Amino acid sequence: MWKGTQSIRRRFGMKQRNNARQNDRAKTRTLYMVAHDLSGPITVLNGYLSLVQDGSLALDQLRPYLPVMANQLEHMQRLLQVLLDTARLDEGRLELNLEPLDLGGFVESIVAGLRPVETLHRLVVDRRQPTLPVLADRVRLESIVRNIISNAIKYSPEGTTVICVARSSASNAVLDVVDEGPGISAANLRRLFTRFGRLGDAAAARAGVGLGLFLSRELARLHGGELTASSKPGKGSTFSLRLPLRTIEARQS
Amino acid sequence: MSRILIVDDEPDLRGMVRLILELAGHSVVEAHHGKIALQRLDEINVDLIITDVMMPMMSGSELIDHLRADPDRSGLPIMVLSASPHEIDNADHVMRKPFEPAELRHAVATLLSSDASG
Repeated sequence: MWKGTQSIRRRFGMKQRNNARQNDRAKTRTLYMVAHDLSGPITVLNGYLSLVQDGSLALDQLRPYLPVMANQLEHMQRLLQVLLDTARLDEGRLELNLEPLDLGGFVESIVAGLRPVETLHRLVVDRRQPTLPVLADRVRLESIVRNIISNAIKYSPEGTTVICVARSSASNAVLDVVDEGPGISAANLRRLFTRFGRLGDAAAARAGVGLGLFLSRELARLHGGELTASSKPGKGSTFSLRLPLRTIEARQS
Repeated sequence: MSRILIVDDEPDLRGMVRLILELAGHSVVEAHHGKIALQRLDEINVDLIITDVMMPMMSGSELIDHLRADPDRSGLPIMVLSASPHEIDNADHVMRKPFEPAELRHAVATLLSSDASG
């Protein structure tokens, strides 16, 4: 296999060789990232099952842990969705199932569904308009919103506030997720939405952003919208999702 | 009975490790990242630290560096729970995820007994 790789490389020009190498590295990183993200849920599920199997835990004592196990399975399902969507995106085959939704109400329901353990932060939803009608894919929109809210929670100290502002701006419905975290440097802001745009050095060791923000931005764009970030180091960051507003007039049929 | 500090940002994983250790007769304290772990250690004494690597605010490696540099705590046994293929060289033991409860119990017993004898 090594010899094969060598002979192929010899036939390539310098540029293709570099591109191929970058691609290889990117793929390797994806594989590691997927392995890493899977290892948590597998450890948890396997742990409880093994405790029952080795007799440390009676079967009926497992019942209180079923919600945790279900949560870990959901986690794996979301990861599967990210992988499939990323692959579909590569092939240009990602299709949205659009339906009319109210962005403010949608965000509020997601925040209400977050488990108490995730809310060592104060989570506030500020709905500036009674309704913000958009056409969106429910599953993909949830994935974008969850992604930016969970990043805000993950990267800011507990006890601080994360505000989700749902507002309108010109012809857009906008969700701003504002945190009081350490902020993101200009260099890292540029890398944030790239395919494997983890943050540099120490931040990278703390947690991988991985495919999440890359996919979220691509999904926002498929909706005709955009996902952007701004930050004041030391003060906090704001992630803004924009989706085209659907006015009543536009909602025929 | 030994007291063990678990440091992991995943509450479900902390809960599972806690259960394994409590069923094995240990008492457990939790922290969800390195900085909280250091605060806990100011309040209480523990016999062993089990830490994840990738965590927000302060990673497992940064936590270990802190502890190793502290003369009062440099001898505290530390086990790392790692899903990373890369080496972690400053821990006393590295447990690769996913692991079996029996492996964890065994490694914990070994670290606690070597700590007591040395």
